[in-house]
Amino acid sequence: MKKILLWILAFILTGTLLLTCVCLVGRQVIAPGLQEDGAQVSDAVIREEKELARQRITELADLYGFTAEPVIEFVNEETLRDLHQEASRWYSRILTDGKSGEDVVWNPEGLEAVFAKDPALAELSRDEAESMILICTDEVRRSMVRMVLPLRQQVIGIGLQMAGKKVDLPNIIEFLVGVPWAALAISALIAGLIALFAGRIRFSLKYIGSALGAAAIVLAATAVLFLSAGIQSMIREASAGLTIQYQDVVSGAVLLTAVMAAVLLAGCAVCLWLGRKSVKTA
Amino acid sequence: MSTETKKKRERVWFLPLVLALPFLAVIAAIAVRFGPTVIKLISVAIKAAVVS
Repeated sequence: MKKILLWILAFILTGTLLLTCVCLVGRQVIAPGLQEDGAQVSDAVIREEKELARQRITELADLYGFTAEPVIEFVNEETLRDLHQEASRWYSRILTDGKSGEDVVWNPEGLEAVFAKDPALAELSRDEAESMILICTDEVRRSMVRMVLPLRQQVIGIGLQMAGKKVDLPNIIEFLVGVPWAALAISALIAGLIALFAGRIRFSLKYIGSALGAAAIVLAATAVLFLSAGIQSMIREASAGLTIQYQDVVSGAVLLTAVMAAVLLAGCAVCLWLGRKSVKTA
Repeated sequence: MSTETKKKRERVWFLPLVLALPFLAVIAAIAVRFGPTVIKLISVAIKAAVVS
């Protein structure tokens, strides 16, 4: 009877440990979006986006006949970081207010001047040149915003309005952010209960170690299942800009999952090894 | 060391796997039952919300 109770507690401990790990990963994914002043974007993302921006500007230059190099130089790392801050504030409004608010508009000073100095456009008549400067500026702006925030902002806004009538998104987010620590506290409580019911801490190690190992196995299996679902290929087909950001978020989440699984496995090995000693002495 | 104690000591390493089995079974069942629908929904959502 005592053994059955201990195994039930170990089963519950596995569940709470899993909940802690899954919520910690979820928290890591959404936490940057909760910063009011905008999330910090990694250098790797900026580098890849700079390369993508170069490709897009070259395509636009071929289409509209302007010189690509000055525009590519204009869209530097600092400019991309500013644009990311704008996009991050847009995400933040969704997560904290449950509304998308105004669309992200990128209006950098000096882009029109870059086109105005372009010798290829200077060859046109004055009216044509002015018109081309406006068109080219608008196209580059739109292309860069689409690269950094490749979402139909109005569609998201309508979707959020509809969802907001049924669920309170900000409250759910706030609740989710607090769940990992609550689940961790419950896990510690259950581990204590196992030790209490087992009588001696050494005897309880078998159950606690099994729960840690089981949580690591299930966590790894869940990560493998998610990675094999093929979401990345869908995103790659849909947008190159989103693929860069998705890869950055997923690699961070996978790294955290791997670290947590390794910690759980190490805990499992230590507990079971010490537990084996108790079997020997018993 | 008796044979029974030795067996017990060896069996202890399989306990995490045994404890993980119910969770893996539930995850597998959910993946089989709802996986294709969820993937289809994600695909539709990506197509609707993402600008190429």
